[in-house]
Amino acid sequence: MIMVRTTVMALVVALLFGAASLAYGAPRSPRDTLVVAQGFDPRCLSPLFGTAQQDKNVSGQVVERLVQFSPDSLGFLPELAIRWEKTAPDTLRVHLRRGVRFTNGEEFNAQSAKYSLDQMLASRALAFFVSHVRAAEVVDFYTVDVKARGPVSERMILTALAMGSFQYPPQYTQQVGLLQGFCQRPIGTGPYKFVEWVKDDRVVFEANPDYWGGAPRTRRLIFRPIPEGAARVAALQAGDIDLAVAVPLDAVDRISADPNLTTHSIRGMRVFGLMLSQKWEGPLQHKKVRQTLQYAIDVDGIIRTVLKGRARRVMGQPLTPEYFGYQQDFKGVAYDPDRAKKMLAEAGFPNGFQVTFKYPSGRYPQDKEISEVIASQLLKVGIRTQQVVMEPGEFLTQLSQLGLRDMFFFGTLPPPDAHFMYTQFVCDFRYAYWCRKDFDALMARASATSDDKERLKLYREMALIFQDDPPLVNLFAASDLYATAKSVAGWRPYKDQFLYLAKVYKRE
Amino acid sequence: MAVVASPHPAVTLVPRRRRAASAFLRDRMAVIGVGLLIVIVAAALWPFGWLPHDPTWSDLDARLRPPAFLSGGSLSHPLGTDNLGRDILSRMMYGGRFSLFVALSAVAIAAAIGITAGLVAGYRGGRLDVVIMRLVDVQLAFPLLLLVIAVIAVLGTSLLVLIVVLGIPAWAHYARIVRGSTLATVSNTYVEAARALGGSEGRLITRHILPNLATPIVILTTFEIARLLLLESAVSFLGLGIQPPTPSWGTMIADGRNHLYEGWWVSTMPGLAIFVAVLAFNFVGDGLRDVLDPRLHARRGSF
Amino acid sequence: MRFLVRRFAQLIVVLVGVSIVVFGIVRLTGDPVVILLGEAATPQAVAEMRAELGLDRPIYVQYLRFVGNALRGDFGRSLRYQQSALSLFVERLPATLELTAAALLLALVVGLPVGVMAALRPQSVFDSAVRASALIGQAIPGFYLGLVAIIVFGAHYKLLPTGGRGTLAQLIMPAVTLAAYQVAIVARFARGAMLETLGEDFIRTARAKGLARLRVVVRHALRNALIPVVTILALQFGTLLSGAVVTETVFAWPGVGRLAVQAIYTRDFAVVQVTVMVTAVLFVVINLLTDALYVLLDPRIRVAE
Repeated sequence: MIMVRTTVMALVVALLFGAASLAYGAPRSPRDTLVVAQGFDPRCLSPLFGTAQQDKNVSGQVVERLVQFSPDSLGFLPELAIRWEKTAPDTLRVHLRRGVRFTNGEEFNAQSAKYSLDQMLASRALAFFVSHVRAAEVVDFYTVDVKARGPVSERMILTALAMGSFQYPPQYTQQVGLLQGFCQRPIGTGPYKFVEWVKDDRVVFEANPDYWGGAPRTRRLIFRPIPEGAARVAALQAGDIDLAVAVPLDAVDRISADPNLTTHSIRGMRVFGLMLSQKWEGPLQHKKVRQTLQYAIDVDGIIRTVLKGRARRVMGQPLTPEYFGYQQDFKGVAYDPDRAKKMLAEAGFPNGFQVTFKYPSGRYPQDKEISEVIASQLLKVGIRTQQVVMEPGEFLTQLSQLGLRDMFFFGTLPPPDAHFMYTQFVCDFRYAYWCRKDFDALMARASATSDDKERLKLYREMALIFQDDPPLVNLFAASDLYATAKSVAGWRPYKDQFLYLAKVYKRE
Repeated sequence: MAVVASPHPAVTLVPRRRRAASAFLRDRMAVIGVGLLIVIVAAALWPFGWLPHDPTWSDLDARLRPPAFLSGGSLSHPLGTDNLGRDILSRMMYGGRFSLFVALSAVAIAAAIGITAGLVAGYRGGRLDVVIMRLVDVQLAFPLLLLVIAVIAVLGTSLLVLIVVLGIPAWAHYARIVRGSTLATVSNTYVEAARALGGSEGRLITRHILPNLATPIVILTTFEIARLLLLESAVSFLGLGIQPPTPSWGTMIADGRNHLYEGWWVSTMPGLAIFVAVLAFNFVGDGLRDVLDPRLHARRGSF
Repeated sequence: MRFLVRRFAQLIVVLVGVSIVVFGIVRLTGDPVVILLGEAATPQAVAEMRAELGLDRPIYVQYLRFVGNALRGDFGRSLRYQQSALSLFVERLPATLELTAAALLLALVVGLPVGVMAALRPQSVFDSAVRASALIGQAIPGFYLGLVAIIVFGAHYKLLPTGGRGTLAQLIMPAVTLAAYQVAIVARFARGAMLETLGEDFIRTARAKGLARLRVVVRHALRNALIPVVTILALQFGTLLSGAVVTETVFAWPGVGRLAVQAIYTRDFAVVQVTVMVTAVLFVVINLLTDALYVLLDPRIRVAE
């Protein structure tokens, strides 16, 4: 008994000591500090590590690019570049900002830019976006030439730069390792300097007083991962955080009703669809059946109810208007289950059929919910689905091994250029669940031209093939939802989902 | 690794059984528990066609209707509708079938393996005992939820996978407890006497050892059922519940948590179902334990 | 002494078993490289990285290499965080231990007295109330309890912080959420064990000798009743880590539970392995200590082999 008592006492004392070393009290976000909550902790603070947006949002506060997408993603804005021009069909000359230093004192110039571009070209994660670029060459102290593999439009090179031209300080990066030490302690030219990263708890930055764009008005910047949507919203309501990324739709009305909070919504470019695989014998190999499916899914109904109107319908082509190559005049079809039933009968399936329907749970917002609705709508026209919910990692694995049969729900956010969207549908693409030689031929021609007008024409022909012989059912592009405390000023969302926080401050 | 609890004498079976039945019926909680269980099982086995609504039918224009007892609710959906406009009451009744089936089957698997292993280890002893107990240690030392998630992430969540993956790890709990009680009983003088007199092993086990195991097994089983019902829910929370459109209480709670702001009832109603079921199993379990353990009622009220 | 040596040998056996199981399972879960590089990665990049990581070797070769390295204290690198898996785990362990200790303490401080008092008056109203309310903790999913608590006490009444770690206030809600289940278990086991002990001969003797009731309860009965309670708590250690997975996710608590689950999702093999291995060691050690505690609690007990 004595033994037990002492043990318990020891525990109590230890806990009290522990408690004393901690302060009691709620950590509300102070005025000179901006606390941002995303759903995930970053994996690595070296932006060339991967393509996950939550990673780049954190590392992007420190490491900048030469070029960024404009807020509406229709064009490009200079960041560490000041201007650019085409000097040959395969060459873009980029003039760099002068007098910029990395926060460790290294100088930003053509040499460092070439080093960083070389890293981009060698990056495994970004190969898909930059493979049309061949090399970077130093022209003079503040000028580099970006060389493509062949004639290519300016827009294509700029897209590659906006995706991957992260500027690393060469000496420091070589010393610690681009994907090793740099992950833990990034150094760049950006508005904030890295302070500390407590894994799965917080990443802390402080303002860079010498920032070329002017020192930020917010002294401290903290990123916190809060995985549960409801908890993220609650943290915002409580004043623990100032900016919440990926706000669940469920909470939108509640936030709007709160006088201390504001919601920010921007039309997103991630295109969602129902991919119809033709790798396996079955009804989906019939063109007519694939055409039918778009009449069987009430996309407008889903947008109106489950998505609360915060999504755009994607029609006739898997693109939103921001994508270069979007065809303005394409119309979608109206929901018409009776017509779908009739067409199925004509296609030889008067009693419907059964297919496997795979979808991830937790990879995209509301993925499971929307897929369940789709399954129940398909059932209404006689298509019985065997639903398979998948853990996101397993979903990705099967996606890449062409294991997602017979159809699956997916979303994709390539850079805003039809080139990157349509590349995903050519026969030898590793996730190609569909194959048309005439489509591939058009793609090859579009990739080989530097004339944007010509590209537009070719993309139109490719979109027409999609209409006749659809590889997927186009669904919608959901809006990105953010919420901030009312006191947060100077911030706006970008369509490419980057968080630019250099000018953000909190009002009195 | 186990500890020998102080042994207690077995009482002859027949009078004990009769006395037990009447004692059980005097236990209010136990009787309530039985009543609740009957209701739950009846609801879960209610024929599909007689349910108030088709539990998988989604009506998007009737999303998140509140239960009848709240303003805005109606009797056509007594417990309201979920995020896809499906009737929550029908889903709870139909889903109970799968939740209970998974939990009970998993416990049955665990008990079958665990009791056998525990009996063998405790009765035979020796090297076999050592091997079995080390396996138990390995199993217990392995963080369960991680194991479950890893397996389910790959194999998916068919009913069979869920039952096996939730059930098999629980064998170790049974094995440990059964072995301990078996050791205690076997070392009893009267069992040793029966052994020395050449009683058959089977008879020894069924007449003398198993009756003494009833109490710990009953208690453990009520615990395990509750634990597995919750574990199924936790697995859904982490993204891997039963495959739709099949509903289960666990997935209903987990999916409903994304709608706590707009429709708290979506996850709360199936939560109540799990609560009531756990309540019922435990009341019955506690009641059984109190009457099965001969020493307890001998002394009831003495303190 | 012989006892200790034998226990140490057992620990090794358990670890070998656990290592084989965990190694097999994580290798079954697929390929970390695809998940790491994302959907935009080219097949060439994937193949190169697989070769770099040695994932293209036969599985037994990989296992032997893993064991060899582990014996030298090298549990490999986290692919996700690009740092040593062991140091990653050790960094995060205090958070989980803090949470777990707080929950266990709550479980004992609340569960034990309540269970004992219920046992003193079996079938009374108090007993029924305890039995019923203990079940609340045993029957509510932790994530539901946690989220409701965050919304009610964090967002609505603004009494407590909604998540994160660092201050005592931040510990309260996660600890209570995690403890809810344990309180229930402790109360029920304490009640059951007390009922049993109070029926034992030596208690009757003590009572017959005219010892004061409180004295009998505390000095004799409680001590005996503690044994099953301690046993179950020690066995719960594995459960606590599982509970911590959920609690840590809901409250954005930076502990090993979240680390482990995310490691499974990203197929970060090294981290999964180190988490499971160290947890197994902790489990075995804690149960060893528990057995030692029995002897102290009740000298009549012999530790059986």
